[in-house]
Amino acid sequence: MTDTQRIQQYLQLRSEFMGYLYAITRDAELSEEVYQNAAVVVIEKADSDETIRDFRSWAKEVVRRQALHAIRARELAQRHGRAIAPELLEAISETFCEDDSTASLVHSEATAMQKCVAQLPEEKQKLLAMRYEQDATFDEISRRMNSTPTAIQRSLSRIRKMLHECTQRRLALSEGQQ
Amino acid sequence: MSHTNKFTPETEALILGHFDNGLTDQQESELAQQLVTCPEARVRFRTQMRMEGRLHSLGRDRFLTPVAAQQSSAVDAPGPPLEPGFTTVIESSPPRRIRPVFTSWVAAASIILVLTAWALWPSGVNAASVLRQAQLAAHELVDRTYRVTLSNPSDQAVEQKLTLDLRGGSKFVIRPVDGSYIMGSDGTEFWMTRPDGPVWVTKNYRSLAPALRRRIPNQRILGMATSPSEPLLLDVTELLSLIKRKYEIELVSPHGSPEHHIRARLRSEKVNVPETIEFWADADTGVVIKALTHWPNQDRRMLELLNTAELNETWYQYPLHAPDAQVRRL
Repeated sequence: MTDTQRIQQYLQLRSEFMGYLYAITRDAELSEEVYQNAAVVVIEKADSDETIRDFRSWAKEVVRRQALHAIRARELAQRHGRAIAPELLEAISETFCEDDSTASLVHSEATAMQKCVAQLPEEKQKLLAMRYEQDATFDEISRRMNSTPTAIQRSLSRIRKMLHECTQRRLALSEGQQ
Repeated sequence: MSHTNKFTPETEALILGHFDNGLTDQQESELAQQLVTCPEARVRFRTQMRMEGRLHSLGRDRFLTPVAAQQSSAVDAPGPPLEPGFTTVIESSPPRRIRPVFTSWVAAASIILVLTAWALWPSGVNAASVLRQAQLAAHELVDRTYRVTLSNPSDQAVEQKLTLDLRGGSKFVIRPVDGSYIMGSDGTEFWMTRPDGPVWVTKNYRSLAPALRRRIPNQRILGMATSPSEPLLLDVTELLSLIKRKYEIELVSPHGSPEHHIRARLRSEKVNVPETIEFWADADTGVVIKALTHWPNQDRRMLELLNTAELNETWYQYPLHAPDAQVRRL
C-alpha cells in the first residue's frame, strides 16, 4: 500500500475515529489533536516496510493508544475538572474496537445522515452549526438565542434523536428497495 | 435506573447525555453497565459515535451552516422559534478563517514578527508538522476551488489566470478564464475539450500532450499540465509530496497566526523544478490557502483558495462539460 493510499484510507475513517475520540474526551479540540497525532504514526508507518493486514483494526488501535495517552496527559495537567469514569472509558473503547460494521454500511449511514441534516428546518441546522462548527458551549448558544443552557441541551438532544431515527428510516428504506 | 440488559429510552437518554458531558458519576456508571450487558445499547452507542464524528467532520468543513444563513447579513431577520421560549434567531456564523487573498501588510508584518520572535519560537508547531497536516487536508475528499496565476516579472505575455477545482489527490477540473478549453479528471480517466470540439479521453494523462499538441489553443498550459515537474498546476497533494522529497523546509509565520507559512528551498540543484516553494496553510485545518513557486527563469505560479463548496460528483466527468461532443479515446 502506498503512502497516499494509506493516508486516504485513514481519512476515510475520520468520522468513525472522531466519534470515538469525542466520546471519550468530550473535547473537540483534543479529539482533533489526537486524530492528528495518530495520523503522524500512520504516515511514519507508511514509510516503513511493515505489512498491515487489516488497516482499519490497526488504525483503531493506533487511535485508541494515542487517545488514552492524551487523556492521561490531560488528567495530569488537570485541564478538565472531572475525568470520565474509568469503567465507562473501558466500555466505550471495547465498544469501538469490536465494531465490525462494513464499510458499505458506514458509507450508506453517512450519506443518509447527511440527507437528514439537509432536511432539518433551518433553525435546527443553525443550532447544529453553532455546536459542531463553532464549538460553542451551551452557555454561549443560550446567550445568542436568548434561552437557557438546559433548553439548548434538550433541543440538541432532540435533534440528535431525530437524526438517528431519520437515518435509520432511510437505511431501512434503501434496504427494502434492494 | 436498574441494571438490566434491556434497551430503554432511559439508556438512550444516557447515551445522548454522555455526548453532552452531562452525566453524573452515577449515570456514567449506569451507562458503562449498560454497554457491558446490553448488546442493543452497544449498537446504539456505536451509531451515535459515528454520528457525532460525522457532525464534527461536517462542522469542521463548514457544511452545517445553512446556505441561506451563509448568504445573509450579520444580523438575520427574525424567524419562527426553535423551541418554546426562544425569542430570537441565531446570528449567522462568524466569518470563515480561511482567507483567500493576503494583503501586503500582513506579509510585511509576518516578516517583522519572524525576525523579532524567532528566538522565542515555541516547540509545539514546526515545519514538518505543518507539512504533514497540509498533506492530510489535501487528501481529503473535499472540493476546493483555486485561482491559478502564471506570471513572469520580465515577460508580461506569460501572465494567465485559470480556475482549478480539486477533490482529494485525483479529481480536478481546470479552465482558463477565457474559456478556450477545459481539462479534467474523474480519478480514472483524463479528458480535455474546447467549445464545439470533441472530447479527448485517455487513461494515460501524459499521452494527452503529444496527441493534442496541434489541436489545443494554448499548448503551453498543456505542456505544463503534463510535465511531471509542474505538480502545482493540478494537484496540491503532489506539490506537498514534492516538497517532502526534495526540499528543506522552514516555518516562517509567527506563533498564533491564523495561517502557517512554510518556505521550501530545493536541497540540490536540479532542472525543471522550482527553486523555492512557499505555501500558507490554515492553522486549524491545514488546508493550503495559497502556494507560490519560483522558477530559475523568474516564472511564478500562484494558487489561491477561492472557496470550499461541495460540487456534484459529475462535475469531474466530461459529459457535464461537453454533453453533445464526440468522444475520441487516445
